Parts: sequence; C-alpha cells; structure tokens
Amino acid sequence: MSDLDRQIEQLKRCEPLKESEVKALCLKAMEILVEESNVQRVDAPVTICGDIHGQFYDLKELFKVGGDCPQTNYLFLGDFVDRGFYSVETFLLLLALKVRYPDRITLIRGNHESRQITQVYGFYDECLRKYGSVNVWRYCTDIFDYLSLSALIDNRIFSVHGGLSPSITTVDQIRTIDRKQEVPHDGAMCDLLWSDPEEIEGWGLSPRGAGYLFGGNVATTFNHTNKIETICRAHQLVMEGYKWMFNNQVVTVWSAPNYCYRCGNVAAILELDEHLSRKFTVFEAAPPEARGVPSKKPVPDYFL
Amino acid sequence: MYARNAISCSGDDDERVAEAQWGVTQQQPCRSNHQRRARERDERERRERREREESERERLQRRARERDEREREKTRERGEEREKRGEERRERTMEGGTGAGTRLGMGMGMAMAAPGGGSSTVAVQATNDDATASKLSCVTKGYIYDDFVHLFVRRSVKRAPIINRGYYARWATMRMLLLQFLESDLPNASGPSPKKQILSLGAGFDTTFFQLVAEGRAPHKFVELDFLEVTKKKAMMIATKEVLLSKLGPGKPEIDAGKEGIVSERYSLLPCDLRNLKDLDDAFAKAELDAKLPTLIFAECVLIYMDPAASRKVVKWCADKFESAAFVIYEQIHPDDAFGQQMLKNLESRGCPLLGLHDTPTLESKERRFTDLGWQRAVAMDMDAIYHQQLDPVDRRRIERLEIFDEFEEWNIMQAHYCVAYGVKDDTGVFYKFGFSQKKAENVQKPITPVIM
Repeated sequence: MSDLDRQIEQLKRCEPLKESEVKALCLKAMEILVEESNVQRVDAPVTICGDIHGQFYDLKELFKVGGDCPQTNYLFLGDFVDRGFYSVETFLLLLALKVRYPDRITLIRGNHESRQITQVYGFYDECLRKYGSVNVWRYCTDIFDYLSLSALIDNRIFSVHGGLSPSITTVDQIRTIDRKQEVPHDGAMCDLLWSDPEEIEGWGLSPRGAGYLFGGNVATTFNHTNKIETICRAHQLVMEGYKWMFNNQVVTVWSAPNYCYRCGNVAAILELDEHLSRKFTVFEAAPPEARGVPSKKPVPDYFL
Repeated sequence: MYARNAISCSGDDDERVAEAQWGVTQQQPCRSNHQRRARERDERERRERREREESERERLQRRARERDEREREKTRERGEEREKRGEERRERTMEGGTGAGTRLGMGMGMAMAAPGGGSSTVAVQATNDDATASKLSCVTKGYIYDDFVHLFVRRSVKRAPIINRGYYARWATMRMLLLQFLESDLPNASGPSPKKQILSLGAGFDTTFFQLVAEGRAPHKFVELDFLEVTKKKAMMIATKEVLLSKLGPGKPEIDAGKEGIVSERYSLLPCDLRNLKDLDDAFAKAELDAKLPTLIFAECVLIYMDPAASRKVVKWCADKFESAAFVIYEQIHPDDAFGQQMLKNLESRGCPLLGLHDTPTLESKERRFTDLGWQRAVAMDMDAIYHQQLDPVDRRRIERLEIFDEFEEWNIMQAHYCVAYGVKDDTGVFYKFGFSQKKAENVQKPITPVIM
C-alpha cells in the first residue's frame, strides 16, 4: 500500500495527517491543480455535490449513498471547510482523493476557500487547535488559490459555487481570469463564488456584501449565449437538499445535512449519467452511531 | 487571539489589505518589533499591577466575608439554641424560612427531579453561563455595550457571527422596551415621573441593573430572581467586586450570598424556584416590591424550560400581583418544522428540553397565554420581523458591518424561531405607549435593491 493510500485510509477514519504529510500532500495537489482550467472540463457520468462545511461524517454518508471514489466520479462545488467540526479531515480527504484519482474527482473553489473567511468561520481555529500552529492552515489556504473556479460538464452544464457575474457574459471570459490569488472583494472571480439567483429582473445588490443577485432573465441570456442547458450551483442552504429555479435553468444543490448540526435540513447530490439524465439523491445526517466511538456529540449554539 | 495578531504582524500584506477592504474592524498592524515589544512590556506591567491590586482587594474582601460568615454562624448557632428552647419559632416561619433547611432542601429537590423528567436543573442553570459568555462575545466584537458582563465570565469565548448578531437583536429589543418603560409617564402628567420597578425572572448573570446605575437610569427598585445555585454565585461575585458592590445603593446592602442573596434599597437578588409560587411570594415580600408601582417583568428564555402548568401559574401570579405591569418574554417558537424539531432534540440532549414549547408554539398562542391569564393586551412578534421593523436601522447597519456575515439562510430561519411577546395590564395609563411600533410593523417586505447594469 502506498503512502497516499494509507493516508486516505487514515483520513477516512477521521484521523488528521501529520503536519509534514499535509505539506507534502499539498505540494503534490498543487502540481495537479495548477494544470486545471478556470473552467475545468468534466465528462459525464458524474455526481455533483454542494457545500460540505467540515461535516466529515456526513461526507462519509454522502459517499455511502453516492458510491466511493473512484467507482463514482465526483464534482464538488466548494465550501469544504468552516462551520463543521472536521474541516481539516474533510478537506484533506478530498484533496488526497484528488491527488490519488485526479481524473475522477474535481474540486472547485467556494467562497469559504479563502484566508479571510476561514479566520471567521472556524477552519483557522480548528487548525490551530488540532496542530498547535497555523502551518496547516497556511498550506491549505495556499492550495485554495489553485482550485478551479468552475466546471463545464459535456459543454452543457455549467457548474460554479455561487453564480453569475455582471462582468461575465461568456464562459471564455472566465478562462481569462488570473485565479491564483485570495478571493477578491469584487469583480468576476468574487461574483462567481458569491452570487445568488433571486426572483428579480436583472441584477440586484447581494445582502452578503459580495457578489450579486441575478434574475431569471440573466440566467436565460447566459445559458443562451454559451449554449448551456443548466447552471448548477451550491452556496445557499435549501432545506429540501436541492431547488430548481427559473424554469429549470438554475439548480441549487446542498450537501450538508442538518447544517451546523442545527438546521434539521436534508441534503442532496445530483447524479448525472452518461446521457446527462438527472437523478437527485436526498440523504440525511449520519446517525450518531456512525460518528465514531466515543460519540463526539456536536453542541450547536443557540440563544439561551 | 495571540496567534491571530502574530499573523497580522508577520508582514503578510495581502491579508491585511484584504481585511481592510472589507471594512472589518481589526487590530492595528504593528509598525516595528521594537514598538511591539515596548507595548507588550507596558501591557504586562499594567496587567501585573492590576492583578496585584485586585488580589490585595480580594484578599481583604475575602477576609471580611469570612468574618461576616463567622459572625452569622455564631448568630445562627445562638438562634438554633433559642429555637431548641422553643423561642422565635413563629417569627422564623413568617419570614419565609431563614433557616438553612428550607432553601437547600428546595434546591436538592429540584436536582433530584431531573432524571425522570429529562430536565436537569443544572443543565438549565448552565444555559446562563452560555448566554453570559455569548453576551461577552458581543461586547468584545462591539455589537453591544456593557461595562460589567466581563466580571461574570471566567473564560471568554469567540462566538460565530450569527450568534453575535442574534444576541445583539435580543439585547437591542429588550433595551428598547426597557427604556420605553423607564422613560414613560402618565398621560397628561405634569409632576415627576412615577417610581418604577423591574422584576427579572431567571435573571442569571444579567448586568442590566449595573448598567442602568452606571448610566444614571436605575429604577426605584430592581429585583432579580433565579435558582439558589445561580444567585449564590452571582451574589458572591457582586460582594467581591467593589465596582458592583458600590452600585447597590446608598444604604448598606444585606448580603448573604450562600442563602438569602442580596437585599438592598434599590437592588435585590433572591433565590427562587419559579415552579413554587410560595417562593415568588416570599421574594416579593422580601424585596419589598410595591404592588401599586408600575412594574416591568422580564423573562428571557426562562418560562420555556418549565412545565406549561407551572409557567402559566407564573404569568397569572404576575398579573394578580401588580396593578400596572408589562411582562416581556423572549423565547422560542415553532417546534414543528425541521429546524424546530432539531432545536428540540439538541436542547433535550443538553439536558434542558424546551418543556413549554408545544404549549405555546406560535405567536398567537404566546399572546393568548397573556390574555387568558389576566393581562389586558398582548403582542408577539418573531425576531426576524423585529430585527427588520423595530430596531434602529442606523444601529443595525453599524453592527452589520462589524463582521463578515455569510449565514443568511440560517440567520433568517433561526430568527424566525425566536420571538418577543409581552402582555400589558395597565390600571394607571403609564403603559399607554408601551410596545412595538405599529407603523413599522406594517412594513413587512424586506426590500431588494436593484442594480442598473
């Protein structure tokens, strides 16, 4: 068994790697990711997954219902880290799978794959807690800069974490972005990771303070211009796991069940076969007995 | 925090510029190692001096406490001797049981009731520590101001922005109603404002009283009730901190942290199990509350942990007891959807199930609980609506810029599962303007700002 296979087995048990191993893994991942396009080509069949947010045991549940990698091809739409208790294990497992099976799994960047956001929403603190230093956070956030920004499945399904940008009309414009940087606070790269679809005409200001709200007519124009059928994105919690909008031109996929151990929602993955036929599989949070012994019970915050 | 500072000092300009662009408050970057070392040294010296002074003061106060305790012990022994001789028995009963037995027995009785009912008194009390730590997190981040809450938190924690914002919304709502009450007058009044009372049920380590005194706004009387285990700790903290002790009023406060709590002219902190109306009656008498004075009653996340039969009795007791009063509660609603069910499950597994939630699951049922039990009018509004319609929009915009916020869906869901409800009973007219603004309440739509491209 190679070191990498051993590390994957270890991560599947939710045991983090040594700091030196993380460093080496990130170096290998960087060599692979640097070759990828801003609009990474993906072939069907493939299973599309939305936000994971460090919910490691629910990611394992996802692999249970969706099939293991590399038997199933995967496209993850970002937001691997923050909020949950196992961002380190979650991201490293996905990254190790990427290094082991580069053509079988695609990881694109979410708005939480950022130095700034991870300092507020938990990944930074988790690294510090688990390793006693922020080196692992540095290695991982450096890798974030190399993650692709979007994916195009068989030239027909455009996948991105957040949504569209007013500065982007063609997919080719995305290809010209210099992505190897921290997520900027405005501009095309920021919008792709931050925007949301909304029942409006045209564009609206996002309450998030970054990205935009885009209406149905914006999606129609983009899809028509780029000969795309569907925009598949994540980024927003939907209690039912997935949600169609604008007459099936945009779909949101959310893959973190019982988000933050508090929301009570179900999660979904979108399975596309070789003909791009769609099948949503809805799943619930991993049962307590699957969360390891002794059961580490998450304690979500409330207003008490 | 130290490590975070270390990063921003490491000369990583990208990160710093990035933070500045967001408009997020952050530490000043260090200009040079030399200045940093000088500042650290100054801080260290200041801290050491402060600790020395504090420990000296605490030592003196501890000695004073021990002396008081010894004297009380002697008094008690003398009393018990007399009691054995059959003296003073009647007087003692009338005072509500000054002896050790009654209160301690009560506390233990509650704790023992826990395993069967699934509700643990200790776990419910622990919600106080959690809430106090969250408030400190809000203060640290600049959401709210409170000069005293840090005195009640042993280890400060950093909460997620969604929790900070939620506690802000709760604090701002409660403070809005509190100030309305304190500033209210009788209709067409010309003379001085009437004296007012505040009664806080399940007060925990709330610092409102001290804050009001510091602001020169304290009411005639401020009474806090909670479990003995909580009042004991709180009384001890007050007794040992001059900055708190000095706020208790002109007269000398009676402090018996272990049992009787604190009774002073304007502030009382008394042990009380709200499930026992006798406790409430005793506290009422002991704090010398006046049934005729306008009274504001608070219960934030308190009644919801109680059996509905017991919480209804409390609501009725308050209506019966005071001639003019408003009773304000902040607590959960909607147990039946996915978020609500998960909330019930999570809090039950913490040992503090929301026993009362199914009894008042909606805004309407919260209102009805008041109007059914002696209150003349009642209003309930969920925190999502309150946040957008009732709170000061300028301050809201201020706090929305304090931290990066990326939890909108969850924020809306969570706020929709909390509400503020109040009942008003007004025989004098002093509450005629009290409550949420009607005009704003009509503006339900949250506007979306269009962008012209």
